[in-house]
Amino acid sequence: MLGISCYYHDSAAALLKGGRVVAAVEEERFSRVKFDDSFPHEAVKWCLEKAGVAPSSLAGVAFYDKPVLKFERLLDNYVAVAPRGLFSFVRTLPKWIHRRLWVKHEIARALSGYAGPISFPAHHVSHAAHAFYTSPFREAAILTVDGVGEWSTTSYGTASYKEGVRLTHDLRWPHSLGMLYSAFTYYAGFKVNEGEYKLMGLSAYGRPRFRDTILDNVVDVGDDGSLRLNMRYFAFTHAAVMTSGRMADLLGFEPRTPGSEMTQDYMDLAASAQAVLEDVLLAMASHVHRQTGMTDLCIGGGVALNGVANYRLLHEGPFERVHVPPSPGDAGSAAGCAQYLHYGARHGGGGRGNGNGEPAGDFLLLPPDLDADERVVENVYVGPSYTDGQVRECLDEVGAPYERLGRAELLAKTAGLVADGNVVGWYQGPSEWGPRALGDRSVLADPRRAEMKDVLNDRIKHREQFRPFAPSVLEEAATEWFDIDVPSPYMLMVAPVKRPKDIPAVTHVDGTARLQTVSRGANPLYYDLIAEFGRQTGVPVVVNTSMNVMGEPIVNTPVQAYRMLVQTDMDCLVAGDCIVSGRGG
Amino acid sequence: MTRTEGALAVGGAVNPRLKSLAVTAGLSFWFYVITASVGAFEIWHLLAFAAAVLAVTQAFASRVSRGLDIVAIVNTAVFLGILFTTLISLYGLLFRALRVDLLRTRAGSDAGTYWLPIHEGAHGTVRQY
Repeated sequence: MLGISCYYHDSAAALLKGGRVVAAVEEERFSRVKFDDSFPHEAVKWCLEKAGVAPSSLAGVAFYDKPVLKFERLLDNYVAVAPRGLFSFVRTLPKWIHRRLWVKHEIARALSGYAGPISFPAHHVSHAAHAFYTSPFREAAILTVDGVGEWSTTSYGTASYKEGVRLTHDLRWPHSLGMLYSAFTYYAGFKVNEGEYKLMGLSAYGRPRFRDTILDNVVDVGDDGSLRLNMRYFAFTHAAVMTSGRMADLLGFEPRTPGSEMTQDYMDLAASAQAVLEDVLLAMASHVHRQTGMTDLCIGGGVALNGVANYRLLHEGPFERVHVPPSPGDAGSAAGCAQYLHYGARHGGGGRGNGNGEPAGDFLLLPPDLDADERVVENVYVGPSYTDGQVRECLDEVGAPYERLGRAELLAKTAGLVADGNVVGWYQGPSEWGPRALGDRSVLADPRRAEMKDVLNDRIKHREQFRPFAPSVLEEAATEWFDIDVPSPYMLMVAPVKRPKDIPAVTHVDGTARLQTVSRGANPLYYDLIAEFGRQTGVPVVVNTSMNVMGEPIVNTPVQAYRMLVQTDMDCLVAGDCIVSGRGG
Repeated sequence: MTRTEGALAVGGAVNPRLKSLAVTAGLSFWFYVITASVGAFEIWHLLAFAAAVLAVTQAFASRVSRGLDIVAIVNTAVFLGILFTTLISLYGLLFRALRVDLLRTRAGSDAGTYWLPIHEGAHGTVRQY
C-alpha cells in the first residue's frame, strides 16, 4: 500500500506492508529543497526500492486529500470575496490547472505498471488515520486541527480497529485555529507554514497581554471550542498577506518585517497567540471528550506539532492519555492515507458505514504482538539507511580520514567527546520519519554547559537566538529531569525542567524543554550512547538538534553529513562505526 | 490558459513542440476575441493566423521555448483576470445581493455552536471530490 502527499508543503511518500510502515520519507531529503512541495518522485522510487516492491504488485495507492473538492472550496472562496482577490486568483489558479488537478495522472505516470485504483481519503481523515494507527490505543477519540484541508479546518470523531475512523463534526474554511496561529506567525515576521514553531519558541519571552483583545475582537470561541474568525481582521482569503490593516489598528503596531529587530510587542503577541491556541484546544478537547465518552485522545494535523499545547492538553485536558503521531502534519498524511486504506476502508464487508462513505468491510486487527514500542520503531526509523560498510565507502570516496571503532569503544569515545564540550554529528541507521531528528540524523552536545546554546547557534545552526535546543533523555530517567510522566518519543511535548541549573543548554527561558524520551526498544544505539554519557557525567541527557544548517533539509547521505562537518564548525562526525574529526582535528 | 495547456504541463518540463500547440491555441483565442469585438472576424483569417503561429513556433520551438513560456504566463494571467472580472465577480455580487454567505462569516450561530455535522457517506475514498 503506497501513500502520497504533495503540492502544498512537505511532499512525502510512505509504503505499508501488512499494515506496518516499512518505508517513509519526505521528498526534501532527496531534492535538498526544504519543505519541498513538488510531486515526490524520488521518495516514491525510494520507498518501492526499499520494500522491494514493483508498482504492478502494489495492493493500493492513496493520495492524502481530495483535490477536486479542495478546488471547489477555492472557487467558492473567490466567489465569496469577489471583487477582492483578483491577484490571488491569477496567481493561484495556474498552479491548479498545471499541477494540482492532475495528480491522478501524475501518480499513474510515476507508477508505471500499476493498474489498481487510486484512492483519495479526505485530508482530515488522513490526519486522523495517521494519528490513530500509530497510537497504542484500540479505540480513541480523534481531534485533527490544521490550517485547512478541503473545507475542514478542524474535525473530531472516534476511531477503533473495529469501526475504523469516523469523523462526525468539523469546522470549515475560513474559520481555522491553524490559520489564526499562522496569521500571528506572519505578523511576527515569520514564514507561514514554516515559522509556526518559531512563534511557539518566541512565546516564552512574552506576556499574553493581547489575549483578551484577540478573543474579544478577532475570534469568537464557543464554550465547546468551536470558533468563527472575524474576517475583517484577515486577508488570507483574498490576498498574499495574512492579516488586514484593521489588525494593525487593533494591536497598535504594524506586522514585523522579516529579519528586522524583534521587539517586546511581537514577543507579547506570540505569547498571546500561544495562549489563545492552548485555551481553544483545551475547550475543543473537553467538548470532544463529552461527545465521544472516550478516555484516550489521538490528535493530528499541523497544530499537533505545538508541543506546548500538547503538554497542556495532556495535563489539563479531560483525557487520560494523549497520543501525538510522529509526523502530525501533511507529510505524515502520506502514511495516514495509506493506513486508512489498509485498516479502515476495505470494501465488500457490508454493514455499517464508517462515516466516510465506505461500507465497514473487514477491518484488520493489529497483530497481538505489536506493542507500543514496536510501533514507535516501525513508524519512525523507516527512512533511507546506509550500512556501516556503505558509510565507509562513502567516506573513502570523499577522502575523509576516519577512525573505525567497535561498538563499546565507539559509544565510550563519543560520549566522552560530548562530555568534553565537543559538538558531535551523529549519523546512524535509518533516518527518522517526521520533522524531528530523533537520534539517527542528530547533532549532539553537552546539556550541562550553558554556552552550548550559543556555540550551536553561532557555529553550526545559524538560527535565531531565541530558539531553544531540545534534549534527549533516557525514558526511565525522564521523570527525574522533567515534569512529565508519559513517554515523549517524538519530541512533541514541551515540559517543565525539574533541574534547570544542571542542564541549562536545553532549558528554555521559561524553564521548559521540548524533550525526546528514548527507550532501548526504539533506538538501542542512541539509548546506549545517552546511557554511556550518563555514566560518565551523571546526566542521562544530551542536546539533540537536527543535522542540518538553517534553510536546508536534514542530511540524507553520509556524504552530505561529511560535507556538513567540513562546512560548519562541528567538531566531529560519528557515522556508522567511524569517527571523523573536523576542523583539522 | 486552455485545458490542453494544463494537460501538457503535467509532470513539470513540457516538450517545446507541445508548448507551441498550447500557445497557438491561446493566441488564436485572443485573435478571435479581438477581431470579433471590432466586427472584423473571418474564419479563414483565424485559420491563417493559427497556421502561421503554429508554423513559426513549431519551426523554432526549441529556440523560443522560454519565450513560449512567457507568452503562456501572460496569456494565462490575462485570461484569468478577465474570467475573474466577468464571471467570478458577477457571481460574487449576485450571491452578496441574495445574502448567500458561502464562508459563514456572519456573527453568531443559530445552533449555538460553530461545529458542523459531517454527513455520513458524503465523500467516498475513490472520488477526488
